[in-house]
Amino acid sequence: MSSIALELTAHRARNQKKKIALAAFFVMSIICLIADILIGSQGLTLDQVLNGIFHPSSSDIASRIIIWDIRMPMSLMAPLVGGALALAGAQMQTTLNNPLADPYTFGVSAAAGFGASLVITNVVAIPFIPVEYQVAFMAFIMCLLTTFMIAGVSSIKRVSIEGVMLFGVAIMFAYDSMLTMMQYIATETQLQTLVFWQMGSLDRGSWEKITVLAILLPIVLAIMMKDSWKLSTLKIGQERAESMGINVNRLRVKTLLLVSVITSLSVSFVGAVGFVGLVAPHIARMILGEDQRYFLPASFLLGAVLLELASIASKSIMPGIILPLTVVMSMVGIPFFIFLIVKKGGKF
Amino acid sequence: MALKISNLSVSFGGNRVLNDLTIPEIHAGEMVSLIGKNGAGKSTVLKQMTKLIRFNPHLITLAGKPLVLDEIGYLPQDHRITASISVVELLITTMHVGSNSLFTKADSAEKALALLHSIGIIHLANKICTELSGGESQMVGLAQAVINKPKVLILDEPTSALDMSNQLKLLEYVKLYTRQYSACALMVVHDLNLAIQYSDKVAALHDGLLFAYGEPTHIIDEQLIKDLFNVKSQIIQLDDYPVVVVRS
Repeated sequence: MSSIALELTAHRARNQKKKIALAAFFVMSIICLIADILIGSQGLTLDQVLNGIFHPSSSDIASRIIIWDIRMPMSLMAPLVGGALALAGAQMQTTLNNPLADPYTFGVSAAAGFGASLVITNVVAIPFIPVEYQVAFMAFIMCLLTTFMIAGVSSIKRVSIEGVMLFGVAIMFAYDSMLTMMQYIATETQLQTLVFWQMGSLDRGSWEKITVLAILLPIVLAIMMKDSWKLSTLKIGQERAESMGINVNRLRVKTLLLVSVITSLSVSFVGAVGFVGLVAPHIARMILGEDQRYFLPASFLLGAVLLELASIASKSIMPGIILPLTVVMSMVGIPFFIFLIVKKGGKF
Repeated sequence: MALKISNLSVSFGGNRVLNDLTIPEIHAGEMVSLIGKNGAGKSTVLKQMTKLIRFNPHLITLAGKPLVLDEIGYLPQDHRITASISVVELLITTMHVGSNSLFTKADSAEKALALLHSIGIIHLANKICTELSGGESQMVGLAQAVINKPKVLILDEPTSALDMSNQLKLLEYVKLYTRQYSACALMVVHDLNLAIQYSDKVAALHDGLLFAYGEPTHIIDEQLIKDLFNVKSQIIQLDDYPVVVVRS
């Protein structure tokens, strides 16, 4: 066999492996979703759960209410929010060429916390919006403003990628200090509400929120996938991408705007969940590489699986108590992050 | 068909790096080396070319028409590839950069592999770009620059990370490519002996101006080297080839 034929076989095998991995991630996300619905204080069997999902009319009312009104809204939020945050992290890492970029490290989550605190402490009241949605709305607005600012700064030609990163870090500290200020002036009850909001929880899920994300995410993913060759080229190197006719600034701003929408919605719906946006793209990169045609859907699916696992863990570690998502994700995320640093010797 | 670069002027913070620089026509099949000391404006010429094509197209023309980005292949000075993809995937990506379809064109992997084979780096095909050595990524960078069969090659210090054998391999390939595809190559070269051996013409830059231009054996002499680099040298003939020896 000639050397060309040998390398062609190896290349095709690599592509095949990527397709199998994507299919495996998809199957894992479905299994984890069902497992997540299965686990809860009311013991339901697998048969009851599957029957309740696929034949709701033939299952008893109690099971139907538990499955459709309580568990499914929570459990379906996990893959949607996990997928969205992972996709956002993947695109931030690609467009800013920085392995540490994700909505959390760029202060977007801190912005959401600050937005929520404005409503919780009664500093801001938004007319025409029901009270239960005001917190999510304000968190959304602050997230959106912040990511718009980051996208705006990255569009300034003389600002380097490192400059954009530093701007993100500065924003994170600014929001953190403003959030501390809001906590300082909050009453005891307001403080408790605020702290719980920041911890992140899937029980804020609802069918309306699921519908919004389920419609929006495929659209955003499709737009990003359409740019996959350009994004892969940008990751290869900015100078080369520019020499090939890619308008790097426009691509970066367009991608960050899409990121801002999905991040803002996700964080405003369930609160700040760290590490998904950082860890999921890294796992996808290690397994599949950075051909964006595979990297983007893989990051999405792995983000979904990670948050589903976190949701399962949050219900299983201490029976009867649902631990905050941020705590669970940090318990998984920090060791993984240290593993990454040790394995790669600090190089990414 | 000839490449024409005229009236390039560039300033960085009030410091004029290129001063109304015009390079005589570069004809199809020709390799032209830019030589000069650090800061003379060599890399700036190449970088500006890729920018001017977009923003001021009338300054650079090919066969009388403004040069477009599709017609150039660029190997930047910073040859590191920062994406975790295999070499063959890098080439396939470069072949599809303007495409909106997720599917690859028929035979694109075969074409990429044939190119790697002709450059002599087929063994790197399935290696991950971020794991390549400096020299390997420079060779791969050449493959990326020529994969779309450009009419103009712009190579910024293409041999800076290569050992002697690979320096010759790369420049031999560039020579073959320019002849085979009637392409022009403009490159920055620091090694004057390589410039003499592989260039049809040499453009010597000094303080942002074209100091000398012509066939390397005609213009590279002890005086030019003294003027450009402020070092003493001696040109000796070896098998009818001039060889530059620098003296302390």
